[in-house]
Amino acid sequence: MGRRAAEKIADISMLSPAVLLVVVFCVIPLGLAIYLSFTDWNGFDEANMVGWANYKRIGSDRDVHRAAIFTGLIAIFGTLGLNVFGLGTAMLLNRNTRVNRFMRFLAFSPFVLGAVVLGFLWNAILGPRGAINTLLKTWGYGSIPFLSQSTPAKISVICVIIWASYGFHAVLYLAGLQTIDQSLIEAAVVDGANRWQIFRRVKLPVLAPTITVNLTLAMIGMLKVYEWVLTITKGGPGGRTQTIAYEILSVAFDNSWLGYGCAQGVVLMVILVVLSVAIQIARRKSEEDVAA
Amino acid sequence: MRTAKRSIAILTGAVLSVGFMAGCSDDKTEGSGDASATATAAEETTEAATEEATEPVTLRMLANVTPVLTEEWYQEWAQPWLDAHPNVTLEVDGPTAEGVEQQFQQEIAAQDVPDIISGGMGKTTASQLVDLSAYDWATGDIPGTTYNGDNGVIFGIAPAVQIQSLVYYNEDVWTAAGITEQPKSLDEFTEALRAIKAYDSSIIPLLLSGEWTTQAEVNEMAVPSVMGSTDQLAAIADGSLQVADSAYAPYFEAVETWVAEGLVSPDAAAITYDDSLSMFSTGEAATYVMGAWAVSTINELNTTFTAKVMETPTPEGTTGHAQYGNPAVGVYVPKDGANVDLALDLAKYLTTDTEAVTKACVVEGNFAKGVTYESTPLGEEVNAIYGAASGLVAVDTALPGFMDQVGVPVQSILTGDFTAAQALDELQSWVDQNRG
Amino acid sequence: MKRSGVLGKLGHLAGVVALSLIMLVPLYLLVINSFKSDAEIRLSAFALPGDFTFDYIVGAATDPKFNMLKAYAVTLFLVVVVNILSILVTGPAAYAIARGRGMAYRAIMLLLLGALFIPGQVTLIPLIYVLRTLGLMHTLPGLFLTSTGATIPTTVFLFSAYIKSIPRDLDESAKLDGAGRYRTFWQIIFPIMKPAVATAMVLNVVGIWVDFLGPRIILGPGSNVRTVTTGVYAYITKYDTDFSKVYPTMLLAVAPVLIFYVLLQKRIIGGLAAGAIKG
Repeated sequence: MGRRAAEKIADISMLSPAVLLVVVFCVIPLGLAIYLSFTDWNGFDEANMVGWANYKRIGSDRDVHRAAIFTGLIAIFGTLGLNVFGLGTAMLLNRNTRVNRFMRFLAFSPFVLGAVVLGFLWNAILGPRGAINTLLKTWGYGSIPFLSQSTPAKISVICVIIWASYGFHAVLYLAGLQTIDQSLIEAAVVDGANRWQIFRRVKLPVLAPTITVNLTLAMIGMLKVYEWVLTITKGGPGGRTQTIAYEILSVAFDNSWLGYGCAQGVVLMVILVVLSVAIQIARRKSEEDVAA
Repeated sequence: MRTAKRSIAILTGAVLSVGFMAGCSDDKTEGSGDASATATAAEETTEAATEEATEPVTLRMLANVTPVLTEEWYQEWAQPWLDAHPNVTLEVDGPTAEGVEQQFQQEIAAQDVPDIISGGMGKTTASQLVDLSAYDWATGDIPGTTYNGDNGVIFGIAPAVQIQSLVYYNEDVWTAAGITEQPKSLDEFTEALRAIKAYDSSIIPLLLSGEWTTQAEVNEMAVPSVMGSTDQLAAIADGSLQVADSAYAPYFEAVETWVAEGLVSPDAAAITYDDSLSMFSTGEAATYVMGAWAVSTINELNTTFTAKVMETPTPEGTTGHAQYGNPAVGVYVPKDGANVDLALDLAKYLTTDTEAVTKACVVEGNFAKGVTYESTPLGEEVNAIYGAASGLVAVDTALPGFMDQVGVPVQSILTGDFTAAQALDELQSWVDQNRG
Repeated sequence: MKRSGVLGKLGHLAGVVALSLIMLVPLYLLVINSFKSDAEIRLSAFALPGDFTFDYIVGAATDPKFNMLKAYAVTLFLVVVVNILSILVTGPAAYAIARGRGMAYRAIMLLLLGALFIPGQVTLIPLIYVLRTLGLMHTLPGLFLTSTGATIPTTVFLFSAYIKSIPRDLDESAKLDGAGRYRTFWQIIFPIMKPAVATAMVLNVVGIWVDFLGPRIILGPGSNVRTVTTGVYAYITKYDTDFSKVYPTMLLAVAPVLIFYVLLQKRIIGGLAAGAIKG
């Protein structure tokens, strides 16, 4: 009895710091955020309850709708791009040659440099008076509106994000690829399977959990995009490259619409949870199929 | 092996922490808002604390740093006062957020406000600033003007005023393009732009730009009409006037025309303020809408052509119309700063002392009562326009955030995503959301 | 493995070259433009410096407006402390969860993981309120605790998955030797968790290093205490008109990290990969 009790106490003390931190810094703020989303708080005056007003406003706020659509685009294309390029790079650089290791290093390097510096650099490269366009001008061509027209700006932002983060996913995929048993592949080759069949029948099943993890991580990351937008386009032109995170932090926050910002945050979280669960369910089905 | 690494890490941490704690405490004693950071928004009434003339104090100023209003300039501006208060150091910092007002709002939320602010802010944060209506020096006959809030509150004061409804143009190009008279109406203006394009298609006829300048340029053109005979901004704010029926409409439509005919740069929506100044000054663009503060930079950067300035065009072509005027180099004192009384004293100096007011005028070509100074040819033209204007109009009856918001749908016209009608509708939708 | 001869090799080579170029462009610009004047950078960004000079780098290193060394000290300090705190907090917690049986443990795991789904943007504003109430705003301890809290979900997930793959027999034999839970964990289990710890450290170090919003809001936008990331951002937004200041500052900000990465890349990437397999 004494031993069990001692173990229980040990367990509680082992768990408490982590639980405490999470409760204080995540759960309580979340609760507060939900509460604040029903008020008109501006950060300094009193917070008055306004019922569903903030949520209704989300319904009619075209700016937020456009931000939601763009965030969705980033989520879809970003997640796809990151995983396609991540997996592709991993397969390309699977063998442990010097060249490959150098390439892996390069692919992963943006992760280490950070969005703030890289965002500034890409703005300096793609802007209307940036490196590329200045070069084009000296060669006598017109400028390419990478950042000055809304659709190219959106594409540019998504491309930069993919450029910066595919290396991270490549590393995770590499790890997964290297757990594949060589003998299985050799057996398949002996059986006369071509490259595509080897991929589908041998590699993919082993990679399945890695794919799930990568998809989930990528999607969560894409839905939270903020620093990239802040440094590459400042949300422009015409507010077309704003993401939900940008709306919350740079629009609501800077205008002191804190209650409104919290409401947007709550909506974002709901979407995040729903999508993550959806991915889990979809992948579980797919993992089961593949395993079969 | 790994335990060794761990101990190194811990040791490093320990060393750094010792070294750092020392630095940490130094910062806090010199600090600005830290001491009172835990107080709620209570009014600072203590005077005794700041009477220690010998204790070193650092005043932190959040300032609108521009190519002309540099951090060094702000120091120079305050220097005589600083000389008279040898224990005080002034730390000037520009905003990292979009502007001074946004930065201030972030700092309010983070409870780390500066001692004194310089720039242009609206009513939103008025409750966080000292009400100057209680002070003699801020009411009555002042050289500049004040920022007025609701219920007679004065939340800021400026040593001078400036006008904004100006169009700079490259006289050499204009003359070569066959434009002989300054266009007064929007139609004449568009004609002139067409003439420039026909003359030399490599020159950008009209430089409209992005970021905050979009809103500046549109408002500079529209406000004389919007606030001309009636207060349309108030009417838009209370819902009695639709944006599409206001004097903004002809300007939105003009922008649409200019975009359609290639009279503005296709990259307009992403051109920064600094780039726009240099693009005009190097002759890349022939016409530039901007406030009077641009004069010094244009004079500095332009070495090749004769730059001239005229008032902005209006739909009817009025001559000597009202100018969109605003307080220049405004000063505010946050209520929760650490050294409110000292800051108020500095504010009083900066906005009422003749030497300080004169500096504030000369730097941007601003105007103040009782101040005259020598000016450049371009500056003289601005003075002439000011003199001929029927008056100055202010925009403090606008919805908070409205003036800034104007630029957003216009940028969408610049990128071709919106027609003028759609842009006006978009602006109206924003107004409807924010009126409550 | 049979690859299609010359064509395949050429294709591979082309791919590699293209990849290198596109990955290196920003870094290349960052380096060469740190030796140029503002005008030269704007006119010919891709060209090698005409008037090569170290002046700008020296200027950036000694600029009174941004104390780079102090920012490094702050960030390093932050990274070390949070990493230590994180392991101290998450290690035992993950162990308790991984070895625990019963609903309570599963519920706690869900709680800790659930935090992953709460975007920082939702909690940022109320977090300020919470920190204010606790008197932790504008304090380094406030930043430490918040950053540590942020590392909990992924690290606990990683650790507990890893621990689950360690056979319970080890625990049993430790118990037989008379060790309590803590001793069992730190002396027996933890040493085996090296790959997972390496992965966690990589993720946490980078995460904390590039963390922008946390230090910015908690330490205060007007604060004197800046990490490298917030400091660089403040610097480049204020001085973005003068590229001859911005580029060298950014270069100085990333150089140490890059060198660190170059030297340790095998460990870093390896650690990430190894932990990922088990996770």
